[in-house]
Amino acid sequence: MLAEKIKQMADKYACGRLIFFLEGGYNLNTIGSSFIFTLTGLAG
Amino acid sequence: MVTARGSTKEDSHRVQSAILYSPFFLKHQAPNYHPENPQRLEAILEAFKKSAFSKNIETIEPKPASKEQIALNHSVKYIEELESFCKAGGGYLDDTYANEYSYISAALAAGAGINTVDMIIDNKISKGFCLVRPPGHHAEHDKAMGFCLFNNAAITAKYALSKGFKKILLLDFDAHHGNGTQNSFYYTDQVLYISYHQWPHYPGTGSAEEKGEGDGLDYTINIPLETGSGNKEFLELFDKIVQPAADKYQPDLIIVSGGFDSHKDDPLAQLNLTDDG
Ligand SMILES: [Zn+2]
Repeated sequence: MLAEKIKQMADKYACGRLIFFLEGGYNLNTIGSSFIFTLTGLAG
Repeated sequence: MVTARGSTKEDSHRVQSAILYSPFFLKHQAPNYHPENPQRLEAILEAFKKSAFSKNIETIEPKPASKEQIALNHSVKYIEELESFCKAGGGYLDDTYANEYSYISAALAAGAGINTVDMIIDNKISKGFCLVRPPGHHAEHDKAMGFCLFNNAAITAKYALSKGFKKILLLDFDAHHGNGTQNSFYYTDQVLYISYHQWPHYPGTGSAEEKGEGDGLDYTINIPLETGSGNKEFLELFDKIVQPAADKYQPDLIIVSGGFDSHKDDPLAQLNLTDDG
C-alpha cells in the first residue's frame, strides 16, 4: 500500500524521519479508519 | 541494525513516533454546517484511541508557532490581519472561515510541525503525526484559501531548512492540488514537491506541465489523476514517478500532506483510494 511505500522511502533515505499532516478528508465514517491504515503503513 | 541508543532500528522506529494534537483544533469552526468541521478530528482521535497504537504512541500538545516562524512562509501583513480578524470574532475570508479561535488553532497547527522538527533533531522521535485543523496546503503566502489559514507543511519545511535539513521531499496525496505548497517551493530545489490529485478539480492548478522554474525546474512534480482513479493508479504511479524521483533526490526528511479525501467515499472528490491501498 501507498503508506508502506512512503515508509520504506523514509527508512531508505531519511533514517525514518517523517512528518505527517492531516489535510482534507470529509467522510466522517471513513476518516478514522483511513488514518489508522495510514499510521499502520507509516509507523507500524 | 543497532543504533547508538542501543535499540534495534526496527524498535526505535516503532517507539519513536508521536501524535501532535491540541484541543484547540476543535474550537476552530464555522457557524453553520461545514464539511471541514471538528467532528473530522474527533473521528480520527476516536479511532486512534480504540487502536493498539494508543498504547505505544504518545500524544504531545504542541506549542504555537511564533509570528516569526509563520512568517517563514507568509507575509507579516497577512499574519497580523488574520490575527486581528479572529480577535474581532472572525467571519469568511473568501471561501475560508475563521472564528475567534482560528488564529491560535492555525498557529498551533503550524507549531505541531515545528515541534516535530525540533524533536527529530533532538533524537526524541523519528516520526510525528500532526492531527491538526485548520488544514494547510491551499494557504498562500498572503491569503487564506480552501479551508486553510497557514500552510502547516510549507512552514514546517522552511523551518526544517533553517535548521540544517537540505533536501525535503514533500508528498501530497490529498485529492486536491496543494497550490499553496507548490507556490512556496516553485523556484527552489531544496524541496521536491510531489502531488497526487484529481484533475481538473478544485483549485484548478496542478497540471503535469507545472514543473517548477529556475533552480526549482523539475522539483515540482504533479500527478494529475482522472476521476475514479484508485489504488492501482496510485501504486503504479508511485513506482513509475515517485520512487525514481526519490531515488534520484535522496531526501533527508519526508513531509506528507495527507488528505483522506482521496478515499472512494469522500463527498468532496471523486477518487477511489481504499484503506488497503
Ligand atoms: Zn482536499
